[in-house]
Amino acid sequence: MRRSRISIVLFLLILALPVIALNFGGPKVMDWLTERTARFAPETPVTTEVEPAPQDPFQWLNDRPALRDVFIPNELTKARLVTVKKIVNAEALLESGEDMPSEALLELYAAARAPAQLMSYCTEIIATIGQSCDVVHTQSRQDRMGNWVLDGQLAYLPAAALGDPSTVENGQLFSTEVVLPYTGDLRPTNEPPSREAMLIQAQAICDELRDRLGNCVLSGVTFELIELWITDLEVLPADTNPERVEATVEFTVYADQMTFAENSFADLVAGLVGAN
Amino acid sequence: MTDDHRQKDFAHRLSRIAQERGEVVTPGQDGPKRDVSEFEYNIPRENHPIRNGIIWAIVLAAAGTGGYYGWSAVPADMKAALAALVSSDASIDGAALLPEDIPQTGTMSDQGPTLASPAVVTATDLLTLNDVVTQVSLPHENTVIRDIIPIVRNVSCELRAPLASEKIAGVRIENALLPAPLSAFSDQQLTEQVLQNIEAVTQGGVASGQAMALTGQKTSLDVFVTDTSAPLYLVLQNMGPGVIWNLQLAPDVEVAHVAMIGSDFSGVANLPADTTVEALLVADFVPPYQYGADDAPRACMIRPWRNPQPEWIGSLKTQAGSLTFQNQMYSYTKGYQAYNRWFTETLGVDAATNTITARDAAHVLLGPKPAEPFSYRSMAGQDIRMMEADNLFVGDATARRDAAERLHLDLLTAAVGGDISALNPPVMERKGP
Repeated sequence: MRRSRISIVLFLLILALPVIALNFGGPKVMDWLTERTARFAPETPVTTEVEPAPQDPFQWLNDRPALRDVFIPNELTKARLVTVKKIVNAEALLESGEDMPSEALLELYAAARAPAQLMSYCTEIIATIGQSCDVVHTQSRQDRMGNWVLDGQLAYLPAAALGDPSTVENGQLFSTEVVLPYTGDLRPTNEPPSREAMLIQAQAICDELRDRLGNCVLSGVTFELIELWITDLEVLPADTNPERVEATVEFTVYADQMTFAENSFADLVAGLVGAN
Repeated sequence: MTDDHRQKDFAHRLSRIAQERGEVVTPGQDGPKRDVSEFEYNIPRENHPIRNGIIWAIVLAAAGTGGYYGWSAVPADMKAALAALVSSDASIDGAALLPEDIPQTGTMSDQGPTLASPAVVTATDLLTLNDVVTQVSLPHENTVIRDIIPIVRNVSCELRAPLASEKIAGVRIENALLPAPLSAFSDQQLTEQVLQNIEAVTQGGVASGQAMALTGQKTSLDVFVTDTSAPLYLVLQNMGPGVIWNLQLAPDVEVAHVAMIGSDFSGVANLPADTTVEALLVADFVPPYQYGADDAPRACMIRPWRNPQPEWIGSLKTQAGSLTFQNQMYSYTKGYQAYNRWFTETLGVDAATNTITARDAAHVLLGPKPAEPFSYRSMAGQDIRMMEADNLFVGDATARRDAAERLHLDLLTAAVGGDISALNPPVMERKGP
């Protein structure tokens, strides 16, 4: 009696197990099966007559789309951007001696000239953190003072080594943003030397991260402009209101997720930024 | 399964002994058969309702779970195919179909009828050109016209009031399907187009040379008029690219006045000498359309929406549950209501009065089918009364396109500051290590 009951229960369990496994853990089961069967795949016979296919030095990255854009060392990507802003009046959009267009055409002029206007920021990037630089996105709008705000995104190829993410086991991308500290009461003036100093400061922190974790990428630097006003509606007199700049930097590393947590990465970067 | 023969053998022996004694033995009189276990000898079979219930519950739960996740994993098109196999009448009941399974036809679009030449759209039935006119000479891009006579657009969104003796009739479409031999656009349209092209390069990553030029190419539509019951007040309305309305009046037809309401620069050809004309450009009074903007009635809402009809494919898709078309048909309905309110206040009649509507058309007929086809009036050699535009080109189609492209290029060059390649500067490289 008992044996027959046990047999029926066992039979039903055997029947139900594949159904439950395939429905609740289908992908994992298939991955497991694929992995197991791959071990027994016959090896391709090596013939001396066939030339081996040229090895892609970045095959490891190409196989990992999430990492590729961050770490690929020879390609401008949207995973490494410097975001800049420039505020100019209508006259500054024009060449010297050029006639002022009608009001209706100013938006067109601002949009058309934004790439050239923002290309000057590439000079600073090339001088500090970049091997090459390109303006990949620009946008323009008129502010309430009638000035033209030019927003741009500049992709850059890092000049510094990024490290080798392929050596990391159980890797995961970690990113964190920090505002770079400044000395004194006021933020630095929005001028090329200030911005270059910020880029160098960011790269120094990234270099330290690379020394500790094996890799690091400056995945984003955002220069935010700050204008000082007497009140919300009243601007300071001309020449007494230099634009100030603040840099927010995003650091990205590929680290072992078993020994590293998101919070601990943010804490590590905050510590380095504070000590820098 | 076990099959224990010992009981049968014993019964057989008893039967044989009884026969030898001379007793009559009737087969099958062994008494009531006992329900015994198939596993243990001569033990009554036991019922296990709880055990069996649990087993069946597990089996059914596993099968149900598998079925649920399996059905969820089936692609939508395969589900529809399976549903169609099960339901044999799904194909004839529009409401039972998925929205994507209701296709547009050659003559019916999502937004209403689309009737190319030689179809003639009428209020009742569908005719062809031969039913209405003879000696047809359709316009083409290079048709030579005589002159362009500008129409000064109305400065307020009002139209001349119809006289009591006049009968209002009209046409309301989105696109005319015949070519027209002229191009026109405003400076603002040109600026907007150049801005779009610049942003395509600076934001969309499009190569500088792939920018799209504004052509301003117009279309035309034949308006056959056979209604002789009263002097007509024609209201010619369209929502798409500008239309040259080519009037084709049958004998004894009198057109007292023509009012054009267009979303783009439009004109009229073959206008009788004593017919007055006026024009409203939608952009002069209504901002560019944004979703929901025309839903509420408001002053000067002159964008000529059409009222959705049940046979529109968009209406069928709405019934089938498409949220996209529910929104679109809602916009058409509310837009039409707002437009109709302005129309009724301005002209004193409903916007549907004696009005032919279609999304796309090449020829329309206002009035009854003529007893005899009358002569077609070509656009060739005729004056065109045209809304004033900043840039207007006539003549050879290629020359018109070249002229428009030149304007486009001149403005782009001026905006960039001389060198168009500055829109997409070359990559800056570090020199040295």
